[in-house]
Amino acid sequence: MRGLTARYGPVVAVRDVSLRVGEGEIVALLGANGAGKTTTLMSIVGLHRARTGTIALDGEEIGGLPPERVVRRGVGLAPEGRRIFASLTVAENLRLGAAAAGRGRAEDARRERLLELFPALRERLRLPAASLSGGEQQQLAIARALMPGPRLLLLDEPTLGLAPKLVRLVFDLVVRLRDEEGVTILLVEQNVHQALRVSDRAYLMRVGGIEAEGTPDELRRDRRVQAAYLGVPE
Amino acid sequence: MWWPLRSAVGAALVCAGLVVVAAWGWASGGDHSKLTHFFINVTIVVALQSFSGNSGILSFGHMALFGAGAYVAGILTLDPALKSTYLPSLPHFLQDANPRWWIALALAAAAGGALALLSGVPILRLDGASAVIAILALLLIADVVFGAWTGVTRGGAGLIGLPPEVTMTRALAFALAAVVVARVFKDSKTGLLLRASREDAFSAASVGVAVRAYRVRAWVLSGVIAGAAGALFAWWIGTISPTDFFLAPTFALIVMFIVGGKGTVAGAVVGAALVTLVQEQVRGYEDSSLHLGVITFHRLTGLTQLVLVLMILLVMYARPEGIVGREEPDEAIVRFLRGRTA
Amino acid sequence: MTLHEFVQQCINGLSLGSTYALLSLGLAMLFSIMGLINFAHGELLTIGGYVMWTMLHHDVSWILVVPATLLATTLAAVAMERIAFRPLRGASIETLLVTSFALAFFIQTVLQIGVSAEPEPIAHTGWSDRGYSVGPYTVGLIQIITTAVTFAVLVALVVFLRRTLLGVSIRAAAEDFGVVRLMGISAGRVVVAAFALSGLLAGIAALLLFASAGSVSPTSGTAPVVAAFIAVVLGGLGNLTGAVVGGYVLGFADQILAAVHSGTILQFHDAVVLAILIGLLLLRPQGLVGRRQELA
Repeated sequence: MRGLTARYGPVVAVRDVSLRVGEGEIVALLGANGAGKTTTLMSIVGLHRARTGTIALDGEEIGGLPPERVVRRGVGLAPEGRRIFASLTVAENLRLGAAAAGRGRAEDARRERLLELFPALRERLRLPAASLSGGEQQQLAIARALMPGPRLLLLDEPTLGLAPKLVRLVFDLVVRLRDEEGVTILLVEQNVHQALRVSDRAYLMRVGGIEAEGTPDELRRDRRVQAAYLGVPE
Repeated sequence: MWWPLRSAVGAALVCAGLVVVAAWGWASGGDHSKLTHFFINVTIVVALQSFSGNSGILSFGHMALFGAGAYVAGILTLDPALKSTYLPSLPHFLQDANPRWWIALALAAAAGGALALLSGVPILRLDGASAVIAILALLLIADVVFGAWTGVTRGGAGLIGLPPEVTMTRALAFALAAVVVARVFKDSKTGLLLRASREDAFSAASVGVAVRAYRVRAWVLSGVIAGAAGALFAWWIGTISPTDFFLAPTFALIVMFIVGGKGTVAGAVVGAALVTLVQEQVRGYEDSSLHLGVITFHRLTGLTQLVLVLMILLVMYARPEGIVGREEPDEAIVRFLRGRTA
Repeated sequence: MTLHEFVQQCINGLSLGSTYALLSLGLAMLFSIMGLINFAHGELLTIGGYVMWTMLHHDVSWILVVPATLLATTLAAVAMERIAFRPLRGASIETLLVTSFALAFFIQTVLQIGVSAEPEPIAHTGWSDRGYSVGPYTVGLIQIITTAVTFAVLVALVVFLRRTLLGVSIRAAAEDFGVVRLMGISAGRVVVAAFALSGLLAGIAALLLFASAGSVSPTSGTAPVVAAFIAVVLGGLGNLTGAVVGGYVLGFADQILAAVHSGTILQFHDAVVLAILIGLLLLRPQGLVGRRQELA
């Protein structure tokens, strides 16, 4: 059973958070702005040093490793705001993504598979990434993170700023990734409804700590979730 | 207490230090040239501190302002007979001019301020990183102008025979004034707001109007002090040319600023003291040679600069906030006393 | 100025621009990745010049001088990164600037003390003075070589930056350094590669420059690095293509204006160029060539 436990002490943004993500699950991390969701993801991937706590991937400790090493161990991150390399072509973005896994036949095979999943990218391989639409850029960010074939994919607000039709597309994609590719996914989202629709379990964060956890049904009924998003008083 | 008075009192510690040094100079007699040099250095580095220390924008261009003051003072006070020989194409009112030294100094300070105003309004609209580059460009422009405007500056040949209008006493007086003014400015509303806005302004894509105005104020004040210091320098050294205001002196100035501590006026003074010491004492060794077993260095040219380099590298790696640190000495004393009585 | 003079100056401008382009590329590469204006870049040039002087002084053949010089400048650049800049990773821009400034003076004074403050002559071999006539115009052999070599270098560089993983990484790092690490690419390696590249470019520029300059002194690097700095800003800070364009624009401008200058206001042409620079920074911060960057 693949597990990921993260515990942090009093870091300013995130306080004593414990998460577990099982193999093949889609776990959602919900919460309002500033709750510490992005910081949590950053800490997992190593872009942010946690003060205290442990992070383990499949039983191996990865906390404290620099992002280059974490990525090579099998964690991928599609960061908030996409952050694709706009001046590079789509193909070059993907190639960089694969850098963690090394060159060769496997890279080409994975790329083919990803282009099947993201047909829009195939058409634009030679174009600069800056010319892509918002939705396409998001696809590129996810594809890039998937290029090295990670076991765990972290998605930070993948639907931010996208039109509703594209939002659905992204979430359907997330499900496909889990079902067809066997990728374990930790998803940070503000779109509660859709996130709960696709995930197996979810956590609610508030002001740096976990406030609630459970299955989507449990959380939908949880008044704290309602309060966090709808302004309904507790 | 009215705040400028409080600041002035706060600066008293540093001022006392300067007076003590001067007193020692009077007592020992002899040539006060080195001490005069020190006081002039104090004035120019305090000028830099009052801008860069408060705004957070490192200025590589202060020598442009300094040089402007120096040339203005030089042109005005050069003996008219020499002037007609060296600078025959000067307009008549400048040719015949031979003002008193303090008028020339006031004009030099004004020149520094004017150049600062002219350059500051456009340049300080830029964000921090670009402003640094633009100020560096200003230094380069000044160097070109000093060198090419031969009718006024005599270009590379420089102005020689400048009258020795500066005495240690006068230099001390201006150093004291500069320290007090810089300190009062630092504690003023403008100074405080500048320091507060440092972090934001650097990362902002465009600079807010208020911040820009404050920066320009600091830059112009800085320019006035620098211009005055330039005049004193011209009279102290007797000969000026464009290389006196280009990269090597800029480096020495930056060393003074950083080594002492860029956040405080006291730091600037300490930095000036250290660097002047090095400049005056080490220079004597530059002509000698050094034997190290099999290697012989025939002339130790540039030894002064080497020492300065080592000083600044040491400070930057070991104690980036400088020798004096973040607090003015009087602030540290007050805090200490308050802690005691609390 | 007659058409003939103009064209002649353009020919001269081409080779001068080539030298500027090489230097400003090296400078821009470092700036784009680290935000660092390496004042000590000029000293890489000087080091190259001194290596050339030492070897030619001892009658070493040019066939050895060329690779030796390139190796020296590349190693010097890598050493700079390792010793001076790596310990300061993450420090403020201010600190980096001051350090590079101090480093420049450090190298200068070491050369002054270690060798001499006086210029050392670089032996002129016969071929470096040779010139050819093309119709009514004269072209020096060294000018032809300079331009040809620069073009070759630029082509090679484009291939490197497009085709190799390291090259693509450098371009990516110039845009968003943090995300490059997310690709599993070692940040340190990218930085070292960029420094090495800038050192190599400086070495090529040194060979071309000092072959015709005639002498080298500890301060030889100052004027070129100032020109490179201007070119980098003209082209848009951190924009590699822009740096090359800026270099050529500056080369042409310098030659043409210098030829016209005597007795006119154009004596100040350098100052005018610099003032234009400041204006550019204000109006078009992305330079002549750059695109408006999306702020991430």
